[in-house]
Amino acid sequence: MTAIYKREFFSYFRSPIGYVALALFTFLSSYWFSMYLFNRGAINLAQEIKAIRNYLILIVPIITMALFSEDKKRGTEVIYYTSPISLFNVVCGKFLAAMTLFAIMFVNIIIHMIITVNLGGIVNVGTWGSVIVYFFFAALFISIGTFASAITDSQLISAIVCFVILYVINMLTSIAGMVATGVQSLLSIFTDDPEKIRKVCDAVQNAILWLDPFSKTNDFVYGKFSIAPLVFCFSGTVVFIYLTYRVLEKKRWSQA
Amino acid sequence: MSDNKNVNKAPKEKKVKEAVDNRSKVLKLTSIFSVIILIAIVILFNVIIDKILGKSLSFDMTASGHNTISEQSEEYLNSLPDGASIRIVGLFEEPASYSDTPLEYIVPLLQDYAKKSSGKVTVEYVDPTAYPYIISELDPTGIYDVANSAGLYAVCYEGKVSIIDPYDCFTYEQIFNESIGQPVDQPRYNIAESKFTNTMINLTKGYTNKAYIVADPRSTVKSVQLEAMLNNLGVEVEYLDYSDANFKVPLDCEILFLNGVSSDITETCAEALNTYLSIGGKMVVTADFVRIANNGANLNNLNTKVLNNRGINIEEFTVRETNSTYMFPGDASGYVFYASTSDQDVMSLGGSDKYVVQTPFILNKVSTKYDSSMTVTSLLTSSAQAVKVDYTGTDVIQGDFSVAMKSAGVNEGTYELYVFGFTTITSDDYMSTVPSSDSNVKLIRNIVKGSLNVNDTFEVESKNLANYSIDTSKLSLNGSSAMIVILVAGIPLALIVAGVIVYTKRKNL
Amino acid sequence: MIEINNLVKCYGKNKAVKGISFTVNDGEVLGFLGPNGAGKSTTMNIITGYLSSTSGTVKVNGHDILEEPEEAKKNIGYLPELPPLFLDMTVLEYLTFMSELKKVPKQGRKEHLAKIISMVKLTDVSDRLIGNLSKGYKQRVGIAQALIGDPAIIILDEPTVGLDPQQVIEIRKLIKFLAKNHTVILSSHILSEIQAVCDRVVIINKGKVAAIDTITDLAAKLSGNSKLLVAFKGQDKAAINALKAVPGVTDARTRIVSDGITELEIVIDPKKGGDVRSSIFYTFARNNWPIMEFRSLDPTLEEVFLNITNG
Repeated sequence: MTAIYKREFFSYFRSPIGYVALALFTFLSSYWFSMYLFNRGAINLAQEIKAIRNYLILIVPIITMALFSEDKKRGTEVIYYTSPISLFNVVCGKFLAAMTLFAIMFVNIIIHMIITVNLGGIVNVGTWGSVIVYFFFAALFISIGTFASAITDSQLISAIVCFVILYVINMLTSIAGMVATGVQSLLSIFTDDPEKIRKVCDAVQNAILWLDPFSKTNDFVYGKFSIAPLVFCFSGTVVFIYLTYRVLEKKRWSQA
Repeated sequence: MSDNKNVNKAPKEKKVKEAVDNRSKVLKLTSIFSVIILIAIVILFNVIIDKILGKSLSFDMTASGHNTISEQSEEYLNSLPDGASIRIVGLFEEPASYSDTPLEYIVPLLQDYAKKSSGKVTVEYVDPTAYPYIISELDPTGIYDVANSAGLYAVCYEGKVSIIDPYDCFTYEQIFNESIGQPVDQPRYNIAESKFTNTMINLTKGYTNKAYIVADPRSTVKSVQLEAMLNNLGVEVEYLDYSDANFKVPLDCEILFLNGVSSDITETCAEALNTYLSIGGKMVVTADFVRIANNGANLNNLNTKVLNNRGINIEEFTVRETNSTYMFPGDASGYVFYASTSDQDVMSLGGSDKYVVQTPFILNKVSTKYDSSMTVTSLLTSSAQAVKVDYTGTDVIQGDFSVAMKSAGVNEGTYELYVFGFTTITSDDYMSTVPSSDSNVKLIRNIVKGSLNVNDTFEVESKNLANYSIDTSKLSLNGSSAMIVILVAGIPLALIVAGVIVYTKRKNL
Repeated sequence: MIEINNLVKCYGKNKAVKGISFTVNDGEVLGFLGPNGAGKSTTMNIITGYLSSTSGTVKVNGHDILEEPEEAKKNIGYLPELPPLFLDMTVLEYLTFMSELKKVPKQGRKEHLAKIISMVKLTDVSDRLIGNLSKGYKQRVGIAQALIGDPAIIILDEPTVGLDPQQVIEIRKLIKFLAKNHTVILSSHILSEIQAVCDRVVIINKGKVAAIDTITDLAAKLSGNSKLLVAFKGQDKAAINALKAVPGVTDARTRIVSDGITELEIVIDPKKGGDVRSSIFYTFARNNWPIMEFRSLDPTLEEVFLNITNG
């Protein structure tokens, strides 16, 4: 696993991709930081980190699109199947390489923290809460990106799939609302009882809303830590990594 | 020969085919099922963690516990009868995000109330413009003015409604904002829990006492904080206009405040106050030396017609402290200092022996008018190195001077009179900048409680707000511009250039 | 040793491999021969674990490739049809990566890689980017990665495709050298190469094994006889009569007569090989028929191959 991890990680820096991603992240986070500096005279880093989460939707597909699709296209995936290593290690190695890149991006935030403290601002519990959420979200998103990259040999399709999935997750609140309305109109064909309809719609809406990691982790910014949302993100990550492993393993039984 | 071959081939091929179908099918199904089972386990696991254990796995890590209610509030909630139902309705649509708004400290707190109340407190958000039914539901007769309270919280219990403005859940101090060039109100302390719990207490128990604040409509000294403190003690507050020609102290007045007197009272007012005290009323007077000195006013009516009869006189002098132990840190003038007490009662009421005093009047006992039916005690005095200063600012003499006094009837049921020669005990300016545990605040609060025999109200500590502001003086315009440029443009560009360089170098390897 | 038993691979309704069985013995060089689409690469992919067979077993040194994949793969070095190269790495970086992947112990790794690099003659380009190398060098890098870890079994899928003749000879030399200490499976279109290097050959056609044997035995089995070609100056009929009298000669036929030179095809009983040729020589000498050309007409591998795959 270390071999694959090292290779993927350094390959980010052998081509401009790693640098571009770092530059993009630096630009976005510094832009937010400077907005605070100039306009408000007060810096709440927790808010900045929370805003960055939304940019992850853009940055993660760019970073993860080549993880597996490139190997498929280039023909180098045969290495993973014919070397004495388990495919699961391969998936984990690549996943960790992408995570490390994100950790490096995070150095930006640390720079901002140092500046804030030097200027007399505070870095408080809410900020650290944001930081923890950031890493868990990054893990979840990267695992989704890894999965998207494993199902196709085209980097473009992989990036698009990843982006779509992440965008849907971001929009879960509105989607929940729309689905509830849809279910409502559908049910109204079958029954006239408004109570029942409302109950079912509410249940459907709540079920979908429960899947939204953004709303679960809102409170971290205010210093309220709960373990349940973190468990949610972590198990989501595990599910997608396992899915990636299974997709790769498809070669074992695929009749296509 | 060939026939045999064919016959032999056929069953062999069939066997091979069957093995073919089976093995790949088995692997395919295993793969798919393992994924489905994993997802099912994960969802189940998360649901369990979330619903069953979720509540106990949350921690409020903020330094002052902004998002959790204190033990006292929990105790109060537990003391409510089982069927009690307090309904908190936010008259607005539930916000998806409330950072950087007052709601940031209120919404999670209310969630905590609901969580820890075993169903006795419910929190909901109904926008009255979208759902007007809520107005008639909560306030059918309109006396609580719910219709005009959009954007505020309505706390309802058994038909009674109290309106809470999120803005009022904080105390503010004025800070000069350099970028705007004007002073702005900056939130200083978070008193949301205090406000909500005490409102709930008042609703469920009702106000037990009544107080009046005598205010001069012309005066700029406000009493918002004092009123809030009294409300929290379960004391209902009303205002009396002392310039009223028919000034009278209502019969239901249990304690009266002359808050921040900045000019003399009228004769009518003085007579009414005198009468009030003689029937056993309780009064607190605080006087504003700076304003009176600047106005060149006097307090003749107040002194001669009310206070002197009770053995107290407000002198037209102030005190300047010279002993550095008592001088307020950061104030070199000596006019802001700590007055001290050796009175055990005062120490137990205020929890301290030093109280913040600013440019106070000197108070004196008036021996001619008081007799054995009353006791006059000095509550707070300056140090012996303080200097008596007159209206013009000229030093008169050095010594220790009394700045707060109490006069009370000896028998039970008789009057109580507290005179403070300074305002830093009940003024809005002072009370809004200190926590509720401040000695001055505690002193006045306990005086009120003692006078009114108020026993079971809950004091909830105000909470420090996280102060995200930065020291803008450390940041010159040039410095910050330079930093911004480096961060936003410099580093990204440097990274891209580095990438291009590394890439081209390697390309030619 | 590799045992392959009844390998079947289906792609949907299409059966690419329909029941292949053979054994590869330790230390031998096995050639894999077949027309395009016969299933050679598929079989090799299955042996190395890249694909999974629909049914059938592959056992490498006793380890089943599906049950004990890591054990089995440890013993195999594989060069697939398309060499799996990372174009953004240098040769040395790539080989280091592969050695880490194949769990070559860190101690001595450098020397091991240096040895392989010199074996495959990559020393000059070891610091160059793989993407910048010519096809020949790329192929060599592919071969190099198959040799990492000194696997007991080396499987090469068309190793000399795209190489110039000089390079082809070098690779052939290399394979012969490797054959001394390794088991090699080689698949190729270049029949002369297989002929030159391999001990045994497996001919695959349409997903099935068409023939397994040593080359000579195959050729022999196919023809049943040995054929000779003689070109001389003289009359064909007379020669044919004279030849038929020679013991061991079963048949003689005219092939071409041109410019006074007659070409005859003589079929002899292979069991009496050496003596018969001498007798034929003397026959011509006695009759004063100068021999211009005298050679064996044994079916080349090409003929065997075409015969088998078309028959």
